Amino acid sequence: MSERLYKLIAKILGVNVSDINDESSPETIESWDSFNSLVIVDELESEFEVSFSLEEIIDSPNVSAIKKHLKNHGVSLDD
Amino acid sequence: MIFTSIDFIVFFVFILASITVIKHRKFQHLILLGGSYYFFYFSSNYLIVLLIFSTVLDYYLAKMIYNSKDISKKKILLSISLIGNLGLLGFFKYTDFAILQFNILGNYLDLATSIPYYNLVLPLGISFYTFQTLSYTIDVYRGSLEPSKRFSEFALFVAFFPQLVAGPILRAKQFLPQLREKIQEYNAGGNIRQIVFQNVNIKFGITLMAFGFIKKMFFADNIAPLVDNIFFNPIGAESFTIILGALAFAVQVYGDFSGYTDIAIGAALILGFKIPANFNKPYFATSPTAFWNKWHISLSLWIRDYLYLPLVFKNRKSSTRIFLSLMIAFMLIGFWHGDGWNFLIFGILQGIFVGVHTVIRKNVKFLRNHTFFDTKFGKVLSIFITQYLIFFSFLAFRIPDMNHLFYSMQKYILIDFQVTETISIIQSHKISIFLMVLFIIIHFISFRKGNLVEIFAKLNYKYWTLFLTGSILAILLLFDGNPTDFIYFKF
Repeated sequence: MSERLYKLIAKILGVNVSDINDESSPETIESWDSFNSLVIVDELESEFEVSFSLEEIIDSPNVSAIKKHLKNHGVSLDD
Repeated sequence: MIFTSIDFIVFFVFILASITVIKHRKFQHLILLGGSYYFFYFSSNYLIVLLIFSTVLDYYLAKMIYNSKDISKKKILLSISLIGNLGLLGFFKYTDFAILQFNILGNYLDLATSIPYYNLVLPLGISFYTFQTLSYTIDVYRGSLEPSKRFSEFALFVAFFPQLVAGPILRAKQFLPQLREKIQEYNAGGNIRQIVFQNVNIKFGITLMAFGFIKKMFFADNIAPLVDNIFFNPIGAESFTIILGALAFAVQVYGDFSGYTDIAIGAALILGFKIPANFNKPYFATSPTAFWNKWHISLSLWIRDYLYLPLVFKNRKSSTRIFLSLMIAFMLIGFWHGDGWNFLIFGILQGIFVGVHTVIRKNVKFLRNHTFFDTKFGKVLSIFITQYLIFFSFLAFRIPDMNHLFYSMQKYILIDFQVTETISIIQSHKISIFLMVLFIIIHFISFRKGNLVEIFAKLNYKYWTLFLTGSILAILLLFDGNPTDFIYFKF
């Protein structure tokens, strides 16, 4: 499941999957700007059938935080 | 108290010495708080009451918001915080500007009287610390932060002197845990822990401060005469002169502001506190959106989290909503900088650039990750186009007079290919031109080789001392004895 998340984020940001890990963030990936943040949110909501709150979107500084929010929505990300 | 003055150096050394002598952690924080208030009072005198007002207001409002179970009451309390802080900011920053506009309108309508100006002094750092305290109350309201239990802890977060005057705008989530971690072990009955000056922090902090001083005092302050000369009255200037002025100003404002930030972050690091970076090679950004991920990062993140995302959240599939939200956000960014129509124009231009870029990416999917932009040529072209637009908007940032501004903008876009005046200016400002070119070369090396500060901080002590000595000599070589204010101190 983590791999699925990494692939989705990598595709949106136009980077290799191997460039994505839990510590990946707008600070480490050039193409991760505010526009792509919202694209990531939209794609995650479609892919995992969840709906994020504004607070969760704001509190997503890196992939690890996104995984935490997905887990809170009942999405299992254990590989 | 300017960072580049002897007063600040003496003050900073005094603070370090006091913390070294006082081993008890809680008192060390009170020294920092007292020092921060003294730092503010030194520059702004009685206006320190405004800083204390914002601090007291938001400390108690945040507690009340947190303790209240009634969502309507929470909203009212948050509104009081917003009105209190933004009201203060608006009053001191924009009252005389509003009066000026009324008087202009009154003249136009042939009204007999005009409203007298208040001639208000802008309190130091008010644009920064009000945003900082607002982020605190909003985060408590949103439930993502517990309010501080100790007033002195919150007061130090607001007034921490390295970043008080011109940022970076801190978030409580970034700073308070650093304070609490230092207190916790003492309260748990552990050994009294001191604020420990770690060698690695000291060396890196001093290196960073040295870079900041060089950027400001060696580069920015010595390029300023060229910029001032070109834009004092640009009417009649050649296109290449205007473009040279825009480029020179871009180097000056980056050297000035990022230099200040380096000194602030370096000073904080020596004291044991990590403050996030505010710049990340913005002049190598490949799009207007990417630029704002790299320029004044703390402000753009603040606007993103507290204005843009709330505006766009519910209807983020609508291109119109996204564009309008970006325009509002950037107009606010523009106006935040100062009470002048030129700053609003700066914000509008940035909003248009970022808005158009975002909407195109949203609706023209094949462009979004097109391989052309991964090629060297694609990246270089993207950088040139982006910086052409950014430097164009910097004209609005620099030129307050509307006639001068529109003339300069016209000459920037519609090149007249005249060179006589430009060559004359280059010849009469050889030092400024040399420093501009040198800065661009060093900046490019930094972009390709990585963080130069890290490289220099890792030098052995012999070469590191040589670097520091060389930096001081370089600064003194061109220093006229009068330290100049940082540009962003005016905001």
